[in-house]
Amino acid sequence: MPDLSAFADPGFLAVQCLNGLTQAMFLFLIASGLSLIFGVLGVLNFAHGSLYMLGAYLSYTIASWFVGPPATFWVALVLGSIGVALVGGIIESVFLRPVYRREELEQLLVTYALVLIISDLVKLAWGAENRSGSRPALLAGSVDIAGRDFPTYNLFVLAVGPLVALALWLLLRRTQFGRLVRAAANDREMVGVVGVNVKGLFTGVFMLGAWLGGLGGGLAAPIGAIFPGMDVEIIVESFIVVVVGGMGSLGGTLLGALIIGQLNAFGILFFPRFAIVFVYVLMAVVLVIRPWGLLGRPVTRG
Amino acid sequence: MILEARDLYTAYGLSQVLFGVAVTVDVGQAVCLLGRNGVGKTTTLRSLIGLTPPRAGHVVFDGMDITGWAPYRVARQGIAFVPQERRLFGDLSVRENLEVARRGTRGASAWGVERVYETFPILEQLDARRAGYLSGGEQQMLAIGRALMGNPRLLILDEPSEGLAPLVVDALCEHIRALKADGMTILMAEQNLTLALALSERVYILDKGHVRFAGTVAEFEADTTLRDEYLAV
Repeated sequence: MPDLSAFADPGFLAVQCLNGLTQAMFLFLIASGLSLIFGVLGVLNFAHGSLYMLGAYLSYTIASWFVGPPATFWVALVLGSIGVALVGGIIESVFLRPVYRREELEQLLVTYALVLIISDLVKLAWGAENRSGSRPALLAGSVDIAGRDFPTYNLFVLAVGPLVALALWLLLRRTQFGRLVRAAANDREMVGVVGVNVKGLFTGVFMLGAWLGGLGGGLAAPIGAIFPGMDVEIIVESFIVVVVGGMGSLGGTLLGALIIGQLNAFGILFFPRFAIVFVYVLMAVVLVIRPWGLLGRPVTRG
Repeated sequence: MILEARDLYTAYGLSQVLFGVAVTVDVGQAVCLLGRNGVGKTTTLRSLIGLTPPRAGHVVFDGMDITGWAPYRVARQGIAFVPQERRLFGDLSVRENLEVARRGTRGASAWGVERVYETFPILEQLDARRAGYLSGGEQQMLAIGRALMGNPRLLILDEPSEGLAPLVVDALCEHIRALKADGMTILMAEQNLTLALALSERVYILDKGHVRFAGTVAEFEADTTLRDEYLAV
């Protein structure tokens, strides 16, 4: 029988809600890149969790290079995520470009192969043991939320998520790159016909998605453990977020991440060992009632 | 001669559609491909702009051999294409559809959103509307406007009148005539004979992937057997 007394404690509820929101921000960062890449390139990138993992390891290692200077964390976050974006650029142009015209199953196999390759490379480079990064001094403490401690760093993550969402929205709505991205999601052949090099656009989109994943990894480095296996852990939940929210919809991805985050945070109170069940049940219900996701639209692909 | 295509052989997979098609267009002319459904008009146009590269043959545009070039390079070379189904970017607004197609060319005569709106005033009123919610006629105007944004020297239109009400076709005809008067070179495929003959200097008749007739509108009208044999349904 689950212990329900915790529900009487407002401080606990508030912190649990904030924990759910924090997780939602990570899920949003990963899933938004996943959704963007699927929306434009039409490829379901199984290796997106691997990019997240790579972001965590890269940021961790870069931070360890310069011990001392106060800006270490920030430099590592920026360089680590850019490094992942560059890796993404190579992945897209070498491994994905040849399979765009192939069947989806073949594309999925290629990205799954990348999961295995990156996983082994990470074990080669960093070993199999867990690691954990350190928080920047500025965000090392905790704050009091209705009588409970909540890490300051997590508040920072809570601020980064909406900022990234806003920046992405502005990028997609207000820039020529964003217009091209949305146009390519509608009809990639016509984007070429109006004079745009679609190959370059695809590489750019994949790099942006990889950067988002890398940023998520870099942000996660100081909180959770960094370990080989964090790639698969995050990709499963990211897929669920995208399925629930609606493939290709930025708003849907945000909504999906918020729902899954809360479901995890509170589900764990009822069934500590089976909280993930709620998430799967939600996904199943959404798939039955709205197969295209909460904010997605029925797909008519040309 | 701004466009010269010779001996085009094009196939989709194993099914061969074009058997040695040749088409030429002179600067400032309007040229029309005629023929029944499925004779290879669209395939000819797609071959020219690289959407379906020909297996054999040559496409020379303004002295440059552009055979088999990727569509974006053909576009940058100065050929714009308005496909049969318009194929607008449905999630983008009218203005965004135009802006997406904007190319770097600057100058007084360059096409921009404002000039497209002057040419097609209806589009200005629909500025923020999603292209997916436009009527057929509005879509066609926008599709032509989008093509013009690339400052083309050759405008290719695939069945521009298809699916449009007669009054809308009349308006479209006037727009194309105005573009021509402005010096635009036009190549189109069209089933609407009245529209085609009203706008063109020269016509080609295609049948089963072959060119059966090439000549001026006057020559075409003089030979009444052509209509019965290749165009009558």
